[in-house]
Amino acid sequence: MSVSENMFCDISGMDWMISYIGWKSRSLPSRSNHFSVIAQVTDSFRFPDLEEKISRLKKLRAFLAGSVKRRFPVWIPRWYWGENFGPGILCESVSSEEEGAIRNFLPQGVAVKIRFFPRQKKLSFTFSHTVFDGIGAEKFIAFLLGPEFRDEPPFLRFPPDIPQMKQSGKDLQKIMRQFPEKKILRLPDPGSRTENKFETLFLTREQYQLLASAVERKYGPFSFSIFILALLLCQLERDLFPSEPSKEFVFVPMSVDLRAAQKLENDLFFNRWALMPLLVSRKILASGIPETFKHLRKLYTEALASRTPQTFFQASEAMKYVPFRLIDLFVRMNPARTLGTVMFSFLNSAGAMEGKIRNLYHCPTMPCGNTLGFFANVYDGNFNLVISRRPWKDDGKFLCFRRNLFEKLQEGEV
Amino acid sequence: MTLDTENITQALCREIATVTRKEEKEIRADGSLHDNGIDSMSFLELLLFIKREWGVDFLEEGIPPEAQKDIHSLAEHIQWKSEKK
Repeated sequence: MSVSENMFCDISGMDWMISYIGWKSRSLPSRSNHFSVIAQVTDSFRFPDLEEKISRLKKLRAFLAGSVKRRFPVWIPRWYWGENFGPGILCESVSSEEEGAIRNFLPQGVAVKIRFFPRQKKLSFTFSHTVFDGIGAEKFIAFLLGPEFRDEPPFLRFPPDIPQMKQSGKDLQKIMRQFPEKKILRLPDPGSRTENKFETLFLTREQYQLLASAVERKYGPFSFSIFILALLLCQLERDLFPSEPSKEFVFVPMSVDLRAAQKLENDLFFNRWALMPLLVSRKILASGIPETFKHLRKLYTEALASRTPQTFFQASEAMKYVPFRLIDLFVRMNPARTLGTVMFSFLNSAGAMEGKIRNLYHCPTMPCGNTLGFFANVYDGNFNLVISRRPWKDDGKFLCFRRNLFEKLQEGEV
Repeated sequence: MTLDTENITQALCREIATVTRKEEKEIRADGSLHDNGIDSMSFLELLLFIKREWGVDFLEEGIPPEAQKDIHSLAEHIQWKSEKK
C-alpha cells in the first residue's frame, strides 16, 4: 500500500493528552514518553514464532514508523504513515543476564520494541506513549500472542470529521480549574532527568486472596482498588511528604479502573482511561486509612456522578478530541499545573492470552522528575504493584516508604 | 407506586450491562455482582444508579451481605428499602 492511499490516520490508543501537552512528544514516537509491559511467559511460548508473526506485519510496521503532525484548523494530532522512516517494530532475544528490561528506550522510527529474556522467561514490550496507551498495549500483546493472529491487525482506521465543541470539553476544563497550584504538594526533590527506576511487589494468588478478603471484610465489597490508593497515599503522607502546612492537597492526575470496559464499543479507540483527576486533602491522609478510604470513595462517587469520564467515553468519535485541545490551552496558561504528584492506575484483571502468559504488569515512565507512578493489577489471580520513579538525591526516605508499604501488603495489614 | 422486584431486576441487569460494557443477555440475574463483571468503579456507578432510580442510598452504608448473593436478592432488598422509606 502506498502512503498516498492513507495520507494520515488516527491511531488507536494514541495518548492524546501527552501529544497535546507535549511533555516530550515532539512528533516522533521514539521521542515520546515510553512505558513497558512485562509479560512472564510459560514454556509453550516460542520466540521464533513471534519473530515470524512480526515479519508478516508489513503494513503495521510501516504504519508504526510514522510520525505525528497537527492538522489545521483544530490541531488534532494525526498520525502520518512513514514507511521510509524506520522498522516500526524491533524484536530481539537477549541472552545476557540483564533484568527483564525495563529500559524504556526506543530508537528512531520504532514505536514498539520487544525483547525476550529466555533465562527469565520474560517478554518486555516497550511502547511509545504517543502511539499506545496501556489498554492499547495489552490489546497489541493479545493480538501478537493470541489465537486470532492476522497479517493486518484490526486497529487501524481513518480519521473522523472535524470535531465540534460541546459540553464534554467544558466539563473537563471546569475540573482542571479546580486545582489551585499553590496548594498542591510536590515531592521534595525536584527530580532529575535520569532513567526511571521501578520497584515491584508481587503477591501470590493465596497472598492476594487473603489481602482482598481482609479488605472486603473491613471496607465492603469491591473496595480493593480504592483501598490500595488509600494505603499508598497514607503511607506517602507518613513517610515521604514534607511537612509543609501550606500544601494542602495531593494531586492524583489519573486514577483508573480500566477493566470496567470489558467490551469496547469501539475497538479502534481504546484510550479509555477515566480522566478522573483527584485532589486529596492531606489532613484526611494524616487521619488514617479508614477516613482516607471514605474520602476517596466520596471523591470517586462525585466524579462518577458528574458523568465527566462517562461523557468522555460516550461522546461521539469527534467529540473525544475536543477536551484535549482545551486542556492544552489551559496548560499553556498555567504550565506548573501539569506536574502531578502521584499517578495511580489499577487494572482489575487482564485476560490470559492463549495460555502463553502467566503474569503481566505495566511499568510506566514518569515524565516529570517530581512525580511517582503506581501501577497495580491482578493477573490470573496474582497481584502486582509497580512503583515508577526517578532516583532522588536522598533515596533514604523513599526506600523507607517502599519497605513499609510492601510489608503492609505482604502481611495483609488493612 | 409499588415497585415490582422483577422490574427492578431487569433495570439492574440493563445497568450492569451498561457499566460493564457487556450485552444485556450476558448478565445473569441469578449470578452475583462479581460474577457479572462488576468491579470497584462499576460498583460505584451501580450504587449511583440505584440512588438515582429508586432513591435508595447505599453509598454510605454499602449493600448488606444477604443482598449481594445475586441480582434478584439485590432487587428484593431495594424494594424492601424503598417501601420502608
